[in-house]
Amino acid sequence: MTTTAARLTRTWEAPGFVRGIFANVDHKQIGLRYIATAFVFMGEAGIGGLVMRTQLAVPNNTIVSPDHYNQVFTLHGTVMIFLFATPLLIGGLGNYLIPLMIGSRDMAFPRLNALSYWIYLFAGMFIYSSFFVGKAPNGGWFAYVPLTSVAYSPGINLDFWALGIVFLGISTTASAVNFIVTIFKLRAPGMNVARMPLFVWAMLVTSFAIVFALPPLTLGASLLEIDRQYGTHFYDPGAGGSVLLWQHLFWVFGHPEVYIMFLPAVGIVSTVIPTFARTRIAAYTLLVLSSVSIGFISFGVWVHHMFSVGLPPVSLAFFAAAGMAITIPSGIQIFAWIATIWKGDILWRTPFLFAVGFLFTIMLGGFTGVMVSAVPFDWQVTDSQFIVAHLHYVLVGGVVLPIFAALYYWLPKMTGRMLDERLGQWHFWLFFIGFNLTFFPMHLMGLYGMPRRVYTYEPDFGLTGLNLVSTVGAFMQAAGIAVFVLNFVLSMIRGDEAGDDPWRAGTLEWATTSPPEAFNFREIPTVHSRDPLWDAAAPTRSVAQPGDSVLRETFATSVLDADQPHVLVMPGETYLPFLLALGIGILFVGILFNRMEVVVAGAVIGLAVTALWMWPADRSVQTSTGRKPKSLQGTEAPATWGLLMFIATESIFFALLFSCYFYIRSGAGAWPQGGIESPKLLTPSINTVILLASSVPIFWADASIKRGNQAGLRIGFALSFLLGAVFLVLQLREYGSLPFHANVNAYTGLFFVITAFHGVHVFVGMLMNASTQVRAWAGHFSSEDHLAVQNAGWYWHFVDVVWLFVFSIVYISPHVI
Amino acid sequence: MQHATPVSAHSRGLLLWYAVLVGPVAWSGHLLFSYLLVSTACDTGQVRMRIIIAALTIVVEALVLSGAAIGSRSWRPPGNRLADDDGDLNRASFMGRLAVFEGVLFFVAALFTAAPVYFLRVCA
Repeated sequence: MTTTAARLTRTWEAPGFVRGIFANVDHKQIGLRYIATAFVFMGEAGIGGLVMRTQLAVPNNTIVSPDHYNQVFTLHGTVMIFLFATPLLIGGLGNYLIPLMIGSRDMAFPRLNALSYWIYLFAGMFIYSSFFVGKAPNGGWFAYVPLTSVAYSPGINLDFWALGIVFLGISTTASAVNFIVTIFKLRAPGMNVARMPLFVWAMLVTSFAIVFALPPLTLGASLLEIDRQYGTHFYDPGAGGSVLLWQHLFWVFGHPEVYIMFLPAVGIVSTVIPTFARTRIAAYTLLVLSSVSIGFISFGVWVHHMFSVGLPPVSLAFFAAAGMAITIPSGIQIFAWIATIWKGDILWRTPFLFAVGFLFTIMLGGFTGVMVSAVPFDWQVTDSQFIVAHLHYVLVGGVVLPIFAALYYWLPKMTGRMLDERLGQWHFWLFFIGFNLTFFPMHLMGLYGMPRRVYTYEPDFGLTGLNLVSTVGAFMQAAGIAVFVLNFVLSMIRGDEAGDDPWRAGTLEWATTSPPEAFNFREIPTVHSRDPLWDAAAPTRSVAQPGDSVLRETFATSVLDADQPHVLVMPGETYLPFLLALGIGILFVGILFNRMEVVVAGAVIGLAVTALWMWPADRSVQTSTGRKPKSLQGTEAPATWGLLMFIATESIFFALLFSCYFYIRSGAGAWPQGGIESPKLLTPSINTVILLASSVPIFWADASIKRGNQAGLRIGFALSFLLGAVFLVLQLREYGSLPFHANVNAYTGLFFVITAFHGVHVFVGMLMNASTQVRAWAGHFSSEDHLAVQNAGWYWHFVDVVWLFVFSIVYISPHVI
Repeated sequence: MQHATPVSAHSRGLLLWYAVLVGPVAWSGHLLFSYLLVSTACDTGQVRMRIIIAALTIVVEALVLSGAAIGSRSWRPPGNRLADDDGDLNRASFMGRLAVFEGVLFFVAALFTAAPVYFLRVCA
């Protein structure tokens, strides 16, 4: 090993067993953990699928009770979507591959990355633990109210679901923000946006979709839980709420979620096909167009799932049109892949087989998608087995087959060992035939009138033969999975060595060893084209390299052109992500069992760990350039982009809350509901002045530190902190003087949720403010180094601006509209 | 060879961002507004929906086409080098082409959205 490699290894490896497990922040280790954990969940949910198919194999079967059947199909859907497909594609493959594909040494925020994994693991255990105590969720994976309200679903089954989804959402959102910033800022020099691999493009669009799609689900599930635990009435029409509000919130998330799973799969197929066709991908720009436009249009299709709820026909037609418009970019993708295969020289290996299997099945799933986007047809098949067939053709054909293509393609990179080709082909054919046997008959069952989610049927319904075939197919799929597991184990024991680039592929992850070293690339390459390894001019070292120091370093580059490389110092291994995830987990357990002392314990752990997290690492060491680590400023800094993404997510939460307010209000006769008077304006008006005034010292502090004025920084932040505290005290006094509580009707619930949600943001802003003040007293900031000041200030201004909307909508609008 | 000033390069960059984003954003706004308008109209019966949606569609289509037109100015790479989309493409040229393709797609998508108002009884 050369001196440089040895030094890089010392810097980047996480030594020791305990540290290696609990303190590791290496994106590859985290990616592998995601993949392994997701497969465990898939195994459990797959067994649930086999239980369902066994129950339905013959009429009037009694293997499971109706209630147990409800739990099994709810967990099957929830786990497959939230704990298997999404985390495996994004957390697993995305984590492992994105930094390698863009020529980086890690993700932009390695500690956040580790936090995402630990939260995913704990949230998965949280949801699945319900099964082992016999209280698994039983309201279906989309948990429609009023079925899931406490009146019809007593017990804590649905509380496990709602809280688990909110808990898990923290992980998914953090991952998405991390991917966006990583792809924006950490690409190797020369990899401009026209040279990004299509998998990277797919992950970028997916991550944006997550940032916009997750808040509706998190908000919807939070309101459901508040309804269930604290007796509010957001979804209770008897007290001014609306059951359709849940459906809107759920499907504004739910339809993009299909594409959140599908787009990474598209990226996989767009990578695998050109490698095995031995040619460049056809119509690169059009494929990027497809991903970007699908990302947008997927948000305009949510009512597609609500055709039968009684909306005006023209409203339905708008969304039917959007559903049909999405076939245009989808069709472009199919034709681009076919064109690539057509012009290529095919190497028929297992990853390619799975990719071709995907092409076949996704076209069938797409066709039935167009059928159900036609309103009259949808009315005929809603809630029938036809929908089960359609969604599985999209999600198994469109997502699981590409996942297997990806595993056969990239496991040699991850493990250094090739999988057996013959076993791979057995796996493919067993799974592919089994899949079609399982789900194709369900189209017919649905057309014959068999509903979904029924635990049995009568022998004279004419459904026995189709159900039996479907069950046989399910077991064939399971056999295919078993062959894959066998193949993996054998390959670990005696598989051929993979070498750096066994497929002679063109993207950067194949430019390093298999498995890659902890630091990924000894020298970060400079990229000159889309398929750098297929160029006559291979990726070159043309810029001063980071890494010759005791710090973890990589390059940060510009967003569009990936030029102007700066050395970026990355954090090393730490226990903080694990401990923070643990604290959050304890908090959620406390909420589940309504134990305030447990909630407080979790919150205290979380706040303490966050305080440690925000304290910078040892600043006395030097970078490879021989200087003290310099914090990148402004848009050069990944942290700035991370903050902007965080603010975007928070803005969506507030926008959704305001939408809920007007949605509930539009269906109410009088407003406020229940004869309650419009809110008094004196206190909130004073609070508006206070909060707006609190932004002034922040501006002053920011300008001061840019001039090197430390006193101005400290005084400015202290003043705004004080004003923030006064705001919160006045708001609490206002709560105490109100003549109603949150659980009177939908209006009162909205009043408290919106104002309290904003109050929490003021509190978080004050914590950031306090942290900045402490660091200011410790002398961490200078005229050249003040990123944390900028970020705390931007967040404070954001909270102030949001208050103007809260004040206008919650306090002013009842008086004037 | 004449070099662009930093200011003009910055403006060109912003224009390309506009070109890439205006189509999908305008279409999203069109769909959402049309949906809300129909809901309101069917509740109150006091809105001249067909005229409003026609006017809105014209504005949206104009925005979409403006993005495509700006994108088309960057279609050809400087010196027409590396114009093969299978291989490599200048970054500005790539964004320009993306904007043009989006213009075509979202022009059609906005027409799809508007069409039902003129073929169906709105609040039946």
